[in-house]
Parts: sequence; structure tokens; C-alpha cells
Amino acid sequence: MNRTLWIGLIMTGMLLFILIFGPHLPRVDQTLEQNLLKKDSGVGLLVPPYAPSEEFLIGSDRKGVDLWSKVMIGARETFYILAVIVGLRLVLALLVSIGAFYLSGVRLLMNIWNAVFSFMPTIFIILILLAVPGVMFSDYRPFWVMAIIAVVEVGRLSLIFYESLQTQKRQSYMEAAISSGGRKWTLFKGYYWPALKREVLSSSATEAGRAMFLLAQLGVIGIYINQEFFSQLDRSYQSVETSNSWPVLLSNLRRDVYSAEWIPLVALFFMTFSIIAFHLLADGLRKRQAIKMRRNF
Amino acid sequence: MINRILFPLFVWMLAFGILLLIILLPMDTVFTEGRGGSFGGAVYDYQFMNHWANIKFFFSYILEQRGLGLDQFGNPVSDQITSVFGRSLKIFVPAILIGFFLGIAKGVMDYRFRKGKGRILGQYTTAGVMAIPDIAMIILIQMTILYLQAQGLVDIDLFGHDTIDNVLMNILYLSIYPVMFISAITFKALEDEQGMDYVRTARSKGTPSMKVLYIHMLKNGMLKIFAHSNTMILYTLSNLFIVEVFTEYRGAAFYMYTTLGSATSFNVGGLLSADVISQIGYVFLFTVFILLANIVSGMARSIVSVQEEKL
Repeated sequence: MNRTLWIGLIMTGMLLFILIFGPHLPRVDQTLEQNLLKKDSGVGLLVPPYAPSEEFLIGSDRKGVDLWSKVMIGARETFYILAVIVGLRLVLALLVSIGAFYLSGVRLLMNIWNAVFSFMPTIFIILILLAVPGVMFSDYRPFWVMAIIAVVEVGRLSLIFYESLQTQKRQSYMEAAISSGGRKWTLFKGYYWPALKREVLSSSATEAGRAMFLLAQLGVIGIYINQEFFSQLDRSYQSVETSNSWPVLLSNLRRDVYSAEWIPLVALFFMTFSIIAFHLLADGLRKRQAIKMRRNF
Repeated sequence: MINRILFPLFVWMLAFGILLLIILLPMDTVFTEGRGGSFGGAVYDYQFMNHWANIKFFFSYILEQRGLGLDQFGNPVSDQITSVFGRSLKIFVPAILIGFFLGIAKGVMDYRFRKGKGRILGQYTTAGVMAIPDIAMIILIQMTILYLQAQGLVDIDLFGHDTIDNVLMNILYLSIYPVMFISAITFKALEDEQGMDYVRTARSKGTPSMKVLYIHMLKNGMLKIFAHSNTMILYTLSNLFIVEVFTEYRGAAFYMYTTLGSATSFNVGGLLSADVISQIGYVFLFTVFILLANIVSGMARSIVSVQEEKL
């Protein structure tokens, strides 16, 4: 029995459940009402953030919005962002790796791309690219941010795909397939694509975990997918995050650590949970492939 | 062997060139102001001629100043950059070294106790900690310390850069990932050596298994571990940004983030990132650092491949 795969599937299943039924779960306030003042049980008034209590299951944020509701409703947006990043990255990496497998020109480009990006830590290059005004003020900024996050790691992923194609090529039964007259397209359809498909499946889980990891890191330094600029008192403009996605909960991290520790704890709990779920799923899938391959011989 | 130095050098030039091109992008943004000077929107207007002019200006400036020139207070920019960079190295280098030595030690331990209950503390912990975002670890450590402080048990300064506490805490935060990464690599390298003939020969001659493990297997696995050091350094540099920005440790990554800060704020009529020159300085130092790491790990890799050819 493949225990890793089962645990991974159960954890991902829970996330899927939140994704689909989240807004309709009990105690979820779909309006995300802001409780800016609250009567104390005695005489005083309380201001948000409220600690976990009867009324707020896992506390509230700094505007008095119930965190439980916010997390459940924000799940959709979070995973939508994740899906776009991973999907884009997978498609691009597939194109590049298959291209590199058949055309030496693309292979050269892939190698140069990888070598160049090995000089730039991910966060570093994302920061530099996001500061380009063309990206910053674009009407499609959310898309550009997701595209940048996706593209920055395309080279690494396409190298993984390329290597899995090469391993397939080295299998001795490939010689039989070639010598019995398999054409390029038949070989690709019957041998290379199935091998690649298995790799894509487990890689997509790994990439989802990595992307979530990165989103958490970017959240800490104040970079979010959806942000709008609002004017400050000194005629400067500060970006303000306008979404309910999970990384946004980290925006006040340094203050929250002292005074409202439940906010970052909740955010990090849900993000870590999904990262571990994706990693276990990927490991489980890899293990399943290994067992299957062994049985084939 | 010489290619192991020349090739990275070539790629470094390419990478630095690309980064330079991006940083020197012209900032021609047309702001539209709404009522009362509020932000109406902005349109970016890329002009190749302006980009070219920026590049020309940068190089003539460098040549003219014979360096990075002076900042607004009349101090040389390069002094500021190198001193700040040194501050970053003060936490970065120890973290890498700890990652290396502790990581290898943990990897060997994981390998020795790979069967039975030891697995839970060994392999599983390594994989588990690597999956947790480091910021979660940092927050947990900080909350523990804050709790202990409230109890009056410890007194540690968590934010800033000028006390020894800050340096030590940041080394701790930064070294978590390298330790786990290297121990995972070590474990894998030892596992690869496991079935080799030389191990069997040594064991059959009656060499104690500890001696085989430490003297023979680890020695052979060492270069494989070294070959992965480049990846580790890249990850740790990424983490350096998070750690420095979050704990307000004013090192190179912190200042680079603030000079690039326009990703999160700006002024109407101009962008905050006027500090292009120092930005380029930071990028230069960081990429040179990666270049050195690259050359070292490349050399290790070439030695490994030479050894494998001999087999």
C-alpha cells in the first residue's frame, strides 16, 4: 500500500472540499462584514483585531473581519492564482522541453536560459521585473505578476522534462521500436508522451507546492498578485492589497507577531498544510510510478 | 578545467548584462492625476532611444567617476555598498558553513538510522522541515522567544542589525534550509554508494562499518554534495531577502529591496527607485558571489565526472 499517496490524496481532497464548498460551510459569513467596534461583556468597547473567541472561531483580522470566513472564501482566489501559475509554467516547459528534444537550436537556448537564470535568485529577479513601470502600471498587472512567477522557473522545469525524455530514449526497448519502423510521430505518441505525461502529473503537484511557498515568501515582503495603489498623506502612493487570498494575511506580519499572532498563524497553517499536501501527493505519485514500472518487467 | 572557469564567466556576463538592461529601462511613465492630485492612472511609454541613452549615460558615468561616484551626502556609493554587503556576508557565510557541516552530519545520521524508529527523526524530519516555508519556522521561533521574554527567561533583540543577537538569530533563520537541503543530498549520495563493490570489499575484509561509512563512502559522496552547493546558495540568497527585509537587518538584500521598493509604492511624477546606480552595485556584488560559488561547484563536478570515467 502506498501510504504517502493516500495521505497526500486525503489532504488534497480536504483542500478541494474547501475550494468547492468553502463559502457554504457553517459559520462562514459570506458578506465578510467588518466589525470595527464591539461591545465588551462589561462596559468597555473593543477594537479589532479580536482574539479567537465564541464569535470569531479563529480570531479576526485588523478590520474585524472573521478570519475563518476570510480563509474559506479566499481559498478560491488563492488556488486560482496557483492554478494559473502552475498551468502556464507546465505548458511553457512542455513546449521548451519537447522543442529541445527534437531541435538542437532550442536545446542551446534552453541551456543558455538555465545557465543565465542560475545567476539570479528567484526572489531577486521577480523583484527587479516587478519594479519595471510597464509591469507595475499595466491594466493586466495581476496577469503579469503571475506570468513572471511562472516564467522565472520554466527553465528548471523544462530541464526535468527534457531529462525524462532522454531517459526514455535510452531504454533498450526504444531500439526495437525504432528498428521495427516506428515513425517520429508514432514514437512520440506511443513512447515519449506517456513517459512525459507521468512526469507532468507528479511535477504539477511539486510545482504547486513550490509556487505556494514562493507566494508566502512574497507575501512577507509585501508583494501580492492583486494590488491597487492608494494615495498616502505625503502625496506618495502605496500599494494596497485588495484580495482575500491567503498570502495577503501576512501583510502586517511584523506587527502581528507582537499583537495578533493568530493572523499569521492561521495564514501560515493553511499555506503550510497545502504545501505539505502537494509534496506528499507528488512523492506518492512518484512512488506509484516506481512500483508500476517494477511490475512491468 | 579551464572551461569550468571561462564558461561561468561568460554566462555571468550574459546574466549581468540582461539584469543591467532591465534595471536601466527608462522610467517614462505618464501619470494622470485625478481630482485633488489623486492617482488617476499611469501609462508606461517605452522608447528605445531613451533606453539607449540610459545605457550610454551609465557607462560614461562609470568611466568618468572611475567607480560608482558619490551619493547625495557626498560619500562614495561603493563604500556604502561594500560595507552593507559585508554585513550581509556576516550572516550569509556562517549560515552556509553551518548548513554544510551540520547538514552533512545530519545526513550521515539519517543514513545510519535509516531503518526502524530513527527514520522519524531522520529522513522524515528532513523532508518535513524542507516542505515548511522558512517564514513559518521564523515566526514560530520568534513567538517562542517572545513568549519566553514575557516569562522573563530570555532577553533577545529580534529586529535590527546592530547587536550580536540580531546576527546570531539571522544566522539561525538562514541556516535552517541549508542544513536540511545538504542532509537530504548527503543521504542520497550515501544511498547511491551503498551497493558499490568497494563497499562490499571493504566490509568483507573486516573493516568496521563505521570506518567504511566515514572514510570511504563519505569521501566519495563528498564531491556529489559539493556539486549541489550552487543550488543551496541560490535558495539561501532568496531567503536572505526574506530574512533581512522581515527582521530589518540592514544588509545588502535589505537595501536592494528598498531601492527596488517601487514595486510597492511610488510618488506621482516620479518613481522612487532613483537609486539605480547603487542597485546596479548590489546586483553586481550578488552575481559575482554566485559566480564564485558556481566556479567552486563546477570544479567539484568536473572532478566527480573524471572519477566516474575512471570507474
